[in-house]
Amino acid sequence: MFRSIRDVTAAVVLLSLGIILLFSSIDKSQGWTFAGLVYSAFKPIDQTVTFFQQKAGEIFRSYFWLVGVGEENRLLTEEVRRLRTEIVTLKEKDLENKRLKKILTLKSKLDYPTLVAQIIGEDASGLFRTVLINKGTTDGVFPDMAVTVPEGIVGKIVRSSGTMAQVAMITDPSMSVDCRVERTRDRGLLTGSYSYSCVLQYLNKEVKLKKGDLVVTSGLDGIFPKGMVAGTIDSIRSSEHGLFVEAIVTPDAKISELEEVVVILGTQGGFSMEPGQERNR
Amino acid sequence: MKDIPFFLLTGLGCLVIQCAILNHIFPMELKPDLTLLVVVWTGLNGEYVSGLLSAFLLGLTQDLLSGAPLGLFSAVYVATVIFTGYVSDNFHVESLGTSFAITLLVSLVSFCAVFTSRWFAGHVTLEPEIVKIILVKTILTSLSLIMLKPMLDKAWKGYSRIVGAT
Repeated sequence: MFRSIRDVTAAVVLLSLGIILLFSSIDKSQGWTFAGLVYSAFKPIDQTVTFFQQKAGEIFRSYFWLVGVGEENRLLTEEVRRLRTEIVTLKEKDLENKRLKKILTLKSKLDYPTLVAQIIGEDASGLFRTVLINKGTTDGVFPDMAVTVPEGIVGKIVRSSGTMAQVAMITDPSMSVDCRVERTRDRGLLTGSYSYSCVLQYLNKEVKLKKGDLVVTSGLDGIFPKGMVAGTIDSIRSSEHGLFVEAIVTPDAKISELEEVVVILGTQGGFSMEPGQERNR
Repeated sequence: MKDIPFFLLTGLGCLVIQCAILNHIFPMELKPDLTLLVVVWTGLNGEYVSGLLSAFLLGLTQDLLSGAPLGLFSAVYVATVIFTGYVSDNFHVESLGTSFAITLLVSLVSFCAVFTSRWFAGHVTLEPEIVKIILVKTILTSLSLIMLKPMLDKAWKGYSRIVGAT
């Protein structure tokens, strides 16, 4: 039952070779070892195997494993979309918060009862510069009440129904506001215009206005309280008939970008005309 | 009278598009008046009295949703249906070209009427900007007809098949 000498020799040689390799690999301090020789001999094979291993790995990663990756990708895309929506919502809320904070500051500054309203629509025809707000007669909003924002005046209520009201902007040609130039105290009538935003009309020819002068309400029209910012002078020109000068005024309130406004409540005309309230006009 | 709901629904639909979508595409004053297009189409294709009634109601809605004095657009739209109804009765106005020409004329007159009323009220002076607004708005409104008319024709065919209106 003994094996042939060839078999035994082969077994002994290979076992010895294994032991030699084992021991030579333990002692790394030696420079050149038998294991090193074996490694060198096997290097091309090893490289070839490694190459195929890598390629196979790549194939698995890029094809077979993509089934799972695809699902993961879908979930992540959904997550990203959800997070983006959340970011936009939060940004919107942040902006709204900032706007409302500004409006609250204005409300606390004003001596009159006020109401914050949201703009819910623009002029349907486009030929009139009006907007609709979400407060009406049930909230105490009536025609001829002043509408403003922290930056400056916006317009006045022209129509109101139960739950909404229409505001004519100061840029609408039908609007006129009695104003003064803050620096020189010259009085004029601020009207809307199709060609320009607003024009301060009927200014005395001797006025010494300059670009950048602030225009404020005079309080004499019975609608807007005194001293509210209306706009800034852009340029000055002679009127059509030459008797007066006119100033092109840019409203300080960004009329086309408004989202919330403050309605100044009170008696007709936006503020109390009772004796003793003169300082508020 | 079965056609009135169709005219009103399409008119209101156009008014919503005009208020909600066109604001973002065109400058405020220049956006096309789609409701006027529906009124013109109604005058050319619809029954006369239904057209008048729809035009009045659509005009009233437009008055309420714009800064116009109550009755301005109602009157303008009713006048539009009277004119287009007359044209439809006496001339052959089937083609898109003819409809376009009629719309151009009607838009021009309507917008001029609006500004004239404002001028009478002392709100506006005759400035070049107004001429520009009238002309550009007229052209844009008339051009919108090219897109809107086939849609209205198709919708009308479907509606009349369901309701039995003629």
